Amino acid sequence: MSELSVRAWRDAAGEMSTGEGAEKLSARDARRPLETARTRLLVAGAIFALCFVILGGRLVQLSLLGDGPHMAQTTQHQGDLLTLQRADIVDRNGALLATNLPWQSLYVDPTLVLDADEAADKIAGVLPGLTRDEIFEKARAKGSFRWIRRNLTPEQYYAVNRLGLPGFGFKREERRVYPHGSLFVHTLGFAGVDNSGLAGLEAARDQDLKQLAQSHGGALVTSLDSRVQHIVNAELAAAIAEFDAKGGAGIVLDVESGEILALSSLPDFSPYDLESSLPDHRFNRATLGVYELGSTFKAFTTAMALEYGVVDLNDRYDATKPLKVSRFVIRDDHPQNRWLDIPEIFIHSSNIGAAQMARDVGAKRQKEFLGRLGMLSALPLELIENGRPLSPRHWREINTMTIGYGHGIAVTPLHLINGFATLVNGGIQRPPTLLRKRGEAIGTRVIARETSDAMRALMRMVVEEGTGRKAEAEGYLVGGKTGTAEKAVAGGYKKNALITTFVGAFPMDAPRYAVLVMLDEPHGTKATHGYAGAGWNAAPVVGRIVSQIAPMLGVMAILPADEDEEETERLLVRADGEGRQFASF
Amino acid sequence: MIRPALILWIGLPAIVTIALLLVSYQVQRLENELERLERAAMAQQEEIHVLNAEWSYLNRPERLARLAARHLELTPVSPAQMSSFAYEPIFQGFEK
Repeated sequence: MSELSVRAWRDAAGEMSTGEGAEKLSARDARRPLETARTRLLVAGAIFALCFVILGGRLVQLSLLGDGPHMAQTTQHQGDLLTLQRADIVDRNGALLATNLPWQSLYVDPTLVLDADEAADKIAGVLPGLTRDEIFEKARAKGSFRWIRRNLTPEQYYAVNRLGLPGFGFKREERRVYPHGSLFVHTLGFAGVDNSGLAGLEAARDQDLKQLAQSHGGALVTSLDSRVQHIVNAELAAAIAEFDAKGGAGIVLDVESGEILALSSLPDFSPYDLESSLPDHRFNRATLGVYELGSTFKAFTTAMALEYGVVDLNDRYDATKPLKVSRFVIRDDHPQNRWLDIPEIFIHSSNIGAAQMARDVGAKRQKEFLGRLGMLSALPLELIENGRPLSPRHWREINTMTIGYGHGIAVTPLHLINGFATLVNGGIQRPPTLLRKRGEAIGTRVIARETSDAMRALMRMVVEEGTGRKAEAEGYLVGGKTGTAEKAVAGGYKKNALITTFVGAFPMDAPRYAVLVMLDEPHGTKATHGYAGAGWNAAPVVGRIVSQIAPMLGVMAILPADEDEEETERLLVRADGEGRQFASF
Repeated sequence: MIRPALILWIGLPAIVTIALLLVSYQVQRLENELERLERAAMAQQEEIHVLNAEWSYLNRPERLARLAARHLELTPVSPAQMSSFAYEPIFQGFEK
């Protein structure tokens, strides 16, 4: 402290002491500043106390009571779930049909490579198919990124990783994988490298699959059954080989729900190797191709005539000679040369009879009936490959008559089997679907139950005693209709180029599944005595398919031949109390 | 008289500070552990996903049929082998 300030302090002190003596303060005046100070202290203390109470309260709230946003965050935290870019597709039993798998792709950053020579040698040693020079070039290239190979297998990934080479890295990518290979390629389609659907269900339900992928574990459940699909595919392939056909289609459809259990179009292709596949192999014969399917349409004609009350089952038509209509002549393939009643027309597949039946119904009603069956427009199936039927623009009488036996109208095989499902399921038309449906499927009634019952009986007769005998699968009451049509080409029909079809359902006492087999240009063999009709090649395939899929689908066989015998046997078993031996034991 | 209070007010913050330090280290340790577990869980999920695909691949009906034909003495089920309790007279009436 300087001398000056010390003096000033002394002066001030002296003044105060002299002032105290001069001015006498009253006791009350002297207490006032003290009280003011105390009040201020109290207020300040209260404010501090309040603050600490708030802080303390907050502390208790956060630590003991445990609410607030952080607590919620903590309890909600459950770790990340695997999210892929595209949802799985599964069959009706949950078997995986398509999935996205993570793949590692190997790249090189040339700026970080220490010894390109050594690296190229080592990588070429573990990645077959890549030459040493290729890798060397890439490792020495300018820039900082070159793909070495996309989509390594896990073993290759491990092997390259083990080399521990600087400058080489992996990038995680996703790739669509179809565990069943080409089995479902015509229904599922395929997805491209950028994980967008390019064909089939993958393309038609592209957005759904991408959205489903966001909800963890979500999968698109289809109505398909991989076991049934395999059987249909295998039997169709065997038939195509046996009869030297160009291709074929096979469909199994649930007649009550419209669900497609199997849909096969052969030849097919690998979903991984599109470049080398032929356009013909990529063509979906079952849903995109439209064909004149011939005599199978007589089922629609018969149902239509019965439904409109134009005929009843006992009515007869003259089939003694070919029918002349203006400049056309309608002939029978299996001529009976007599008057035929309705069941006979159906069983012997008489063009003459069916044409007359259609004529009696009339063009207007025929067009309306086929329209209600869905035969005149594309089906709303979940594919991008949906064929539009071809039908005459001017529906004249001659068109009516030829359409009566399946010529002059071209539909996809899926149209045909869906129409048959309507005929046998009691008369309800339902759109076919590739997706698993829960609950009752909605539909519209096209024919009365009585008409449907009559059609079931007629179809069963075709297999029992008509053109479709080879479609019989013992015990499963198969019924259906054959169709053999010459292929339509520009300006007429191609001789010896046939489309043969068998379409039917089983079991005919209470139909559950409809089955269709179509062969494209089959040829006669020694075993068929040179015949190439549907009854010789398509029908037996249906029989073989039914006898294999029926036990899988839980359809019980009824063995009519030894029914009486079995009945007595059962009664005897009951009498002596012994358990009947099950054949499967 | 002022001594015990002073000791209390210096000692309390010191204890609280040390406790806070310990808790925060523990939280950090647990967070690292959580992150490690999450990474492991993700890897497991991915592995399960790949194994599912492989399972489906190995269960191709075509492959199963081939293997069954080679290794098992089974033939396709014939209609006579299939039945249901409902169809067997001895069991009729039991369902109601």
